[in-house]
Amino acid sequence: MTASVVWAGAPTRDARSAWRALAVVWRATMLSQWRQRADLAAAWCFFLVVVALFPLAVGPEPQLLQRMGPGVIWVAAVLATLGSLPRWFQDDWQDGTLEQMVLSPYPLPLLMLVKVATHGALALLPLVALCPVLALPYGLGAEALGVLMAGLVLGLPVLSLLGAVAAALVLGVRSGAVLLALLVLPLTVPLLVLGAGAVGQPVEVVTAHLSLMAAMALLAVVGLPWAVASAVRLAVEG
Amino acid sequence: MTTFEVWLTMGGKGWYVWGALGMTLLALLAEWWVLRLQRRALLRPSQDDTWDMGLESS
Amino acid sequence: MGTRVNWFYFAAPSRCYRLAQRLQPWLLAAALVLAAWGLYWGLWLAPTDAQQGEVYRIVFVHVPAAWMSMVIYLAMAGWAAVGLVWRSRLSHMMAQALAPTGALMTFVALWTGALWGQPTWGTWWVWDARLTSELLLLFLYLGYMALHASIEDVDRADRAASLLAIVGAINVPVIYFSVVWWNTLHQGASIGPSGSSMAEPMLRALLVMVAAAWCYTLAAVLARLRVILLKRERHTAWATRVLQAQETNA
Repeated sequence: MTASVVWAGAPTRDARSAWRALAVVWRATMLSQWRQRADLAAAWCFFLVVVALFPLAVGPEPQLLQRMGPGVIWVAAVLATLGSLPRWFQDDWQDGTLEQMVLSPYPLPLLMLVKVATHGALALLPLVALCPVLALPYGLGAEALGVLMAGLVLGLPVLSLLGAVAAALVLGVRSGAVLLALLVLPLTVPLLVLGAGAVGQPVEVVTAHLSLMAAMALLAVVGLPWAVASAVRLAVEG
Repeated sequence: MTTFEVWLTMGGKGWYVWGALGMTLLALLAEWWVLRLQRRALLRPSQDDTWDMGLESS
Repeated sequence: MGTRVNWFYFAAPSRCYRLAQRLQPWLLAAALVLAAWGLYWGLWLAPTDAQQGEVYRIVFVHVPAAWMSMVIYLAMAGWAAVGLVWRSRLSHMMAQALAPTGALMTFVALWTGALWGQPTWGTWWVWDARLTSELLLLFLYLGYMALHASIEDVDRADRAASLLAIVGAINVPVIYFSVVWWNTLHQGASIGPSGSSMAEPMLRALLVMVAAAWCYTLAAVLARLRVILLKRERHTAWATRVLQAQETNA
């Protein structure tokens, strides 16, 4: 996304121009990610390869694979998202677009929410779409598959927002990508426990898990954009 | 076996208990040692006053 | 009208340094006395446990370390928040001083937990709620320290690490409860040191050891804070005086 992104209309603080600003952020992010679609596809392929690797490492025993499947898929999804995190803010930070967003009169947390949502959706929703294909090698039934996919979708906001905070914090830091893993992975533990742990459980437990994840998603959407905005301000203002 | 002997060997598991205590003590002493090394390192550059004009940032 | 309290009196680095210097020996002495008393009580006086025999005595080191590791993280996040809200450098420095001690406490908790697990349950590592959360807490501490160390500009490092500490602190209860839940979900495999009720004399010794751990932590953190203060404020007048005084004493 080049610095020639033009803010729609004169920068005022009324609602209409704010909506237009959010639309601009969304469109510009989609456009820049489309231009880098090879990198996106690489992350999806990473996910597929990791998921395919595990049976080769632990053996083809169907019961073992059925137990492991949800966990492996969840971890692979988290790792694939982790791999794509550095690119979420890097380009915009380097060419000054991020600074323009900070300086704009629109609320930065909202702008960041849209940006993070776009990146997160692009990183994770294709993985969710790939799950039915992966259910076959791991012998997951329709019900298990449904729970798995619902969990991944509900976990998307938390994972994206936490990852975005970390990605913004390590902007311009040497060996930032390595640091990202250390920062993000411990924070994803609740998602893994709830998301992967829901598969194969009775209905009441599944409802409980998914409700908790939904609650976490709501809290994240309300609270974390502020943290992302603060981290971005730190990176821009130094 | 007197009670003292039983206590010293912690009912046969002496290595674990005394090992845990000893290792904790070592860790705490290591922390103080590192702090002492850092204090020593602080003193060294301040001996050289010609370039320390307060222009450097920490 | 009474006198107004100046909450920011010790926010000046030089005053904070002097306060830390004065408090430190007392805290260390208190820690030693309390630890000696607690260990005497716990190792010698407390009765043998019915199930675990003598090995349970590791708990007098394991539990204080585990509690301190969590308390220190909360304190770190608290000072981080103060630093971000009131923009005081000293608060960030205090958070920075707390982190290594917290990490060390976590490490001690993990180590002693393993040494407790092996003779009692036959395995060096038990995937129970407490040990697993301690492991994750260690990663959170290491992440804080690594982030602070890798940003060159000190002010940005302070604020970035503080933001991370706050996000981490909000997540710590979530992580802890999810690990507890994970443990219940996958029971059967692990028999862990679950919350067992302690007899009266053991509990008292434990509380004394916790108090000793508090005093030690404060002493170590204040010592580290002094080092950080001198390092960062090296070019100020008060710091040069202190360093020169130390030099003549050394």
